[in-house]
Amino acid sequence: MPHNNELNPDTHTECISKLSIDAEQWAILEPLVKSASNSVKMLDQFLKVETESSAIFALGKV
Amino acid sequence: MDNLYELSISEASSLLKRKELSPVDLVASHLLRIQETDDHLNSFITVLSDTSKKNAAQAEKQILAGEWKGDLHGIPIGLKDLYYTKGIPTTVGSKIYKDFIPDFDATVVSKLSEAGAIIIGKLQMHEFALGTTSHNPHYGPARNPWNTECVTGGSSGGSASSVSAGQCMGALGSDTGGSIRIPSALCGIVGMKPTFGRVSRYGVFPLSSSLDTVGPMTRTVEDNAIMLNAISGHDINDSFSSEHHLSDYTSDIEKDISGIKIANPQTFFYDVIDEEVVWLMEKASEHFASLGANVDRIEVPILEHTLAISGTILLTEAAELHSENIRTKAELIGSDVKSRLQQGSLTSGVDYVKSQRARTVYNQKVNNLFKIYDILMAPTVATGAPPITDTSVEINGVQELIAPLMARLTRPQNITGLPTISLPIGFTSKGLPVSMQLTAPAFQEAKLYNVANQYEKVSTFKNIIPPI
Repeated sequence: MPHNNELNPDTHTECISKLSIDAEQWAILEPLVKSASNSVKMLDQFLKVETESSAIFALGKV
Repeated sequence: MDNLYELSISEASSLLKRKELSPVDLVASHLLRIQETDDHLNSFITVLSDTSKKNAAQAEKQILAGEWKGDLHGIPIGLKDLYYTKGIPTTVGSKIYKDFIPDFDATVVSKLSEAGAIIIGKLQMHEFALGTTSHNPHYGPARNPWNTECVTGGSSGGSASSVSAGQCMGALGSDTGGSIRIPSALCGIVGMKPTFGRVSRYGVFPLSSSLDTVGPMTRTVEDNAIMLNAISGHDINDSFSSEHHLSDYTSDIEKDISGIKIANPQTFFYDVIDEEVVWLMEKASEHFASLGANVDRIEVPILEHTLAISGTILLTEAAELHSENIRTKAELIGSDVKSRLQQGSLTSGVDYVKSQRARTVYNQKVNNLFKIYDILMAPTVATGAPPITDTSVEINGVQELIAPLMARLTRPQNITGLPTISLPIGFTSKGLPVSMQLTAPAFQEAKLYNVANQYEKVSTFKNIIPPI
């Protein structure tokens, strides 16, 4: 499953502009955003059990 | 007594009730204390000298007429400057809201007024409550009474420094990621983050709608319980407010705690921590053992994920609340807070939802611990207060950034929404306060006050005002 948080100034220029982020700030923010998103990605393993149990519950309903 | 500002709330309240102390004198003593010390501390954004004197005179008349309202009648209290106060500036520690004057009182401010408390002023804070140092670019840094070159912690830094220094007898803070407990710990006072929904947030400038809590900060455990009694309760104006039944939080504080089971989770809480804090936590465990409590060291591996969960939720919700400010007034926001809001604005929906799902699983696992244990104990902050001018601090030979380090150990309790109290356990070799935090199941604040009060009685850290 793709992780859709691959934000960068090339593809989201308008968004970055609306958030008052200039190039200098983006240089600071980009690693922070990537690091935060990587931390959230690590929750996948933690959530695996919950995801599987949710799937079983859904199949049972059907 | 020469210095009335040294009294605790419970001590002053007894004297006021017996008409042996005048609220006018009590408020005057605190106003003088503010005048003498605030150039050094910078605790206050607004001092309400005239209003508090007028209200003290009114309280004196009422008490002399036999109309004593309760334990807070005539007691000077400070408010973090994000509580709406009718006709009084409420800056939220920001330049954007420097001229904002609410046209109503927050529910808790009304409750304090009904209880007869005297609001003595509005207190310093980290801008928008989004930071852990109270180093405010618009109003200057709040300074720690134990060493004015050091931070107070944040975001309720002015609340902590003013209570610690005897400028007021109690204060209200707010806690989204530790903002009551961190400054309470670094300034050597007692801070309570109540159960999410226990205290109304109506008229309290928000930061993160699913994490925000408000609560009292005092110099003793009993004083804290007295304040929570006054501000708790359901409020139809706060959609997250709970209808769970209320307790008298002072009624159980003298109960014997022998036989209670305390868990001391090791993983995460002791991974990045000053050795002096570890030693003081061991002493705290010994104090509990001397009271007949059973303290177990346990492992809770899931804790390592809490920073990802809380960081994502907090910053994203803060960015949503401040979306207009970040789009149209970003130049008026301090650089550290602006950067956090921009970061939150860039969180994907996927990451936010994933964090909320993980939160549910985490909460379930923590609640399972309470099938075995009555209380969880942990250090509140991993070090004593760092210097205001520093951005990093050395922990066991490694440089750690101060801003994230301050909130590292307090964020897990905001995810669960469980009640957590921070109270002093000693001092570092540099003379700076160190604290522990105790967590109980939802709505069991009375149990926390009981355990904390019994601990306070065997420790020597109660109602200590540092020389300034």
